[in-house]
Amino acid sequence: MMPSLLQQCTECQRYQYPQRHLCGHCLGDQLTDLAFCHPGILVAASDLHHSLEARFTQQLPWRIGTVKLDCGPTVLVHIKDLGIRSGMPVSVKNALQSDGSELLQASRQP
Amino acid sequence: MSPKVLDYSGVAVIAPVTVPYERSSTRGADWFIGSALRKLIVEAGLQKQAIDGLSISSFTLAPDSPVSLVENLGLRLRWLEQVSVGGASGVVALRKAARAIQSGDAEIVACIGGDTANPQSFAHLVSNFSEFSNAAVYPYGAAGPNAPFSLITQHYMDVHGATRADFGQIAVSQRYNANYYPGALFGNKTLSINEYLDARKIAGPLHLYDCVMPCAGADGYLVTSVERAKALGLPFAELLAADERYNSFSEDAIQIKGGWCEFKDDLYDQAGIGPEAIDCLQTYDDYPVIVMHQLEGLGFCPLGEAARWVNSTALTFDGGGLPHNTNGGQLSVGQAGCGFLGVVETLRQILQRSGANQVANAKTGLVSGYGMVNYDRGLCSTAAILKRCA
Ligand SMILES: [Zn+2]
Repeated sequence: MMPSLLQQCTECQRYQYPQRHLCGHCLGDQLTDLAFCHPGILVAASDLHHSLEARFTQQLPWRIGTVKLDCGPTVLVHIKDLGIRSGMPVSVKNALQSDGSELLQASRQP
Repeated sequence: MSPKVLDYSGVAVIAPVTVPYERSSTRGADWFIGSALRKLIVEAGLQKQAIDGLSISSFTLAPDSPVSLVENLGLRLRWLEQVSVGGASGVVALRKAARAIQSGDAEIVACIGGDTANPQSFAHLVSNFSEFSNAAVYPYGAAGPNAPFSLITQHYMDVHGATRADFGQIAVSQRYNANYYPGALFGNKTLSINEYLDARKIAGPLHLYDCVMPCAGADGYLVTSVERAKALGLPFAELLAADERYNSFSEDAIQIKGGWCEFKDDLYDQAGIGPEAIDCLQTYDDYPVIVMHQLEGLGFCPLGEAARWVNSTALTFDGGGLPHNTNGGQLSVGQAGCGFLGVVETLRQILQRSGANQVANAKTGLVSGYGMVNYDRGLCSTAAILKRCA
């Protein structure tokens, strides 16, 4: 699976996520892909108790969250550290899963 | 100042029909849509060829398209539309068809929302909904729309202090209404607030009775001119006002209000009435929190107050408060057909065509729609006010 990348527009410098082919602000097509390593605030979190896929069923409950990045975009993330609460500053990074896929994960800011 | 929007005078809406919902079906969406068309022409006493416009909404028609239905159902048309804004489609189709009538582009438009359903069709829809969803939502637990809505619901609770019991007021009152509507898939089961609270966990604050069940079925109505409706001798509703918005409040980090806030004042201005004149309300209830967004956005209570408001206002069809989702809504009837359920239920109520769940003396109804969560929020908000003529 494609890694999840943050995009920055070389014309207007804005960041966006999820990835798309044009800048959602100036509609320019010169976009730079960046690996995630960005600070933000956890806006909301919830535990999934039901999944449509067996690979998640064994891991339930599985916590997800919404992070508002300081640089602009809102990102849906996986949360492993159950001590993180809404309103806390977090860092969003790409994290390799045991099945080889890659997900965005929020962790506490150091 | 923005240009004055033309009113919808001269437009009549008639013949609300429903092809009964089923939990699952081996028939295609074309069967449900075509069967709705058959009911429409019977209801209106028309020949099929009198229909010269068609508006179709469906999530499950592919690989066929509306034009393939025209051939399939033996129609000859001069106006054809596909409305693909999810749960906002029922109201948007009404608005577009009304303009086609006013402009003379069509004389009688059949508006139909219909879907088939089976376990495979839902899994396919969820796992392949949009590019954003495929890349940035589905891999996060494969929970379908429950994932973003669990976050929207939790955020609303965090910000406004709403509780699960408040959401339960919506689900329980709708189930009461469904107990009087034979077409509701859950109509033969009662739901108490304790059963609601004790239900199986699904995602975050969402439990079983917060979630709709996708199913098969179709709803439809006809849009024509007042002259034609009178000639047919049918009771009809006028469209007093309607509006739609897309991608409103995109600056909010998580959805806490919808596009209704942006057009509410203009909507009531155009209708010449306020929320207090609404006899029955149908909101898009894919999840109770979105009902609260609509109650607030459409001016039934101030922003952030819906959780308290639903505790002080009877929502049942016969409770003397504000009759809301009077056939049980999607939570109790089932989810099919892209938000046509609310339009058709509004028409049944104000044309006095409902059965045991008839709201006494209902004459004016408001129906709102909401739809399309590509990533983390619904992108479409819409509403219409309809009134029985004479
Ligand atoms: Zn740009």
